[in-house]
Amino acid sequence: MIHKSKNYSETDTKVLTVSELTKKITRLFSSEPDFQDISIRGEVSNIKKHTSGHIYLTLKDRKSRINGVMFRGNAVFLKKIPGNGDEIIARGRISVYEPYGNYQFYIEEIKQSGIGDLYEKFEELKSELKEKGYFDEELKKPIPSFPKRVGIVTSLTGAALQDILNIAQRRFSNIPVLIVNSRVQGKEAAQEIAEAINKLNKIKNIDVIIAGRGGGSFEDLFPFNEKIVADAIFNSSIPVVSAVGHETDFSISDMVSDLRAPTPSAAAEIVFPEKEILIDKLESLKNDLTRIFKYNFEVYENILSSSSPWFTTNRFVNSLQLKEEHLDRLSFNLVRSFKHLSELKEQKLLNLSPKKNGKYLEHKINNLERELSNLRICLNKAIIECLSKKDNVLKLIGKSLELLDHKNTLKRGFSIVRKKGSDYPVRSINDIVNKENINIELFDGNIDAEISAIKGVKDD
Amino acid sequence: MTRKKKKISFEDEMSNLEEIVELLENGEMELEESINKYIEGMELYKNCSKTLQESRKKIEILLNVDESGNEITEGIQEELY
Repeated sequence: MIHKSKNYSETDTKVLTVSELTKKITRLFSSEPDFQDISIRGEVSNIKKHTSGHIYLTLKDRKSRINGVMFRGNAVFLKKIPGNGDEIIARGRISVYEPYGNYQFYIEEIKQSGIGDLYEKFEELKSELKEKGYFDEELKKPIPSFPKRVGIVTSLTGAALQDILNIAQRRFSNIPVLIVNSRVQGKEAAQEIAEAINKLNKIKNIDVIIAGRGGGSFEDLFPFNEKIVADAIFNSSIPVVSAVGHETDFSISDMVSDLRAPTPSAAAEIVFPEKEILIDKLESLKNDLTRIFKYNFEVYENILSSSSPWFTTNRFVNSLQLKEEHLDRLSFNLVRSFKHLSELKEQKLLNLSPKKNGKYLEHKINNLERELSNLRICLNKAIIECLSKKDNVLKLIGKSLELLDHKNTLKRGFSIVRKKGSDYPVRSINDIVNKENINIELFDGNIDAEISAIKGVKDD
Repeated sequence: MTRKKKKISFEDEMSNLEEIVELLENGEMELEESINKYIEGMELYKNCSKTLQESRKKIEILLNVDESGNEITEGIQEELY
């Protein structure tokens, strides 16, 4: 029977020995990069310390288990050998124990014992706070773009403070900083961090708080996962930037805070603005302001210097013209009355005709004269007012000329487009038509050009 | 926000300046008004610029805060910076 299947064994499929297969499997394990450095959390069972110094154990959770070994070379660094039932995080690699054909966990380092409780606590608090709305986006306060004073809650001796201050120095050394020293790991830390945040909230001129620490183990970072810290951040009326550990560490503080920074350095980069960028922005606003104002001003200047009816459209001037007309009419009446009077007087002289008429006319003339002089005063006043208004405008224009330096704007790369022969800058594509000749003013000369196409800015 | 507004902040000044620029750009304004706006804008520019240039570098450690919000601080040693 075995003999009969001879042809099958050698030709159809390659037959491996057990060791060959096991080698293949081993190679498979070592080609998986994730297996070469891996951290596994689980409960310890069957732990045995061999006389050789190696430690053998099984790691398990509710569904699975894996055998593990920690060789003496690594085991000697253990501060405490975990006991059965302990939750640990172990780091090492996964490979095959060829004699038995088992895959197992070669442990290099056991990170923490008893950490399982902390994870549970973390998850519990996280869902509790989430329920209570501590993480709600709409409650998050904006981080000021230019803080007047920054509060920092961290340890005076920690690397985080150094990192933050270095970046603050580099980006914007002008912003004052107030540090509140607080322990950032250990039992007292949570209380101290919370108190520090509360203290800063009593001070009036703090605009933003950075609270954090550098990297560490899950247990080290745990103060930032305590409810008391979460409460302090949540109740802070000053926006809080949380900067706990490394990029991959997520703490409760991060979730409650107004902004999570992946590291303390990143927090500093968020909080301390780059001076140069702010200066650039400010300068360009100033240049815009000046450019636009200059343009507006030129329009006025053109109106003033041309024969444009700026003054005549003025309502005030209209009323002035009415008065003038009135005055003309009155003058005319006056002259006529004089004429009439003198005629009458002549008559009177000639034939001593009725006194009555003469008296009446004299009275009328006096009235007209009074009205005329009143009107003269009015007119003078109005003219003076009008002139002083014009004078005022001219003064303002003079003033703005001092304020402006239009050539400087051109030097920065702006240019003015005018229709050929026109003094007015072209403001909109509606001011020109295709093929029209234009003149472009640059800082060092002029270009004559013809429009070849006009395109509007698309609204989408 | 429970904090009350005290002095006008740098951000407010910047956004006021932006507003004025926009206003001048869009608005058909009387000359006098536009000059006033321009002067106001330049004033804001000067303030912002001053704030940016102001040397206020000061690093302190908070020791305590009393009930009325007065702080007790100490300066930080140079080597920490």
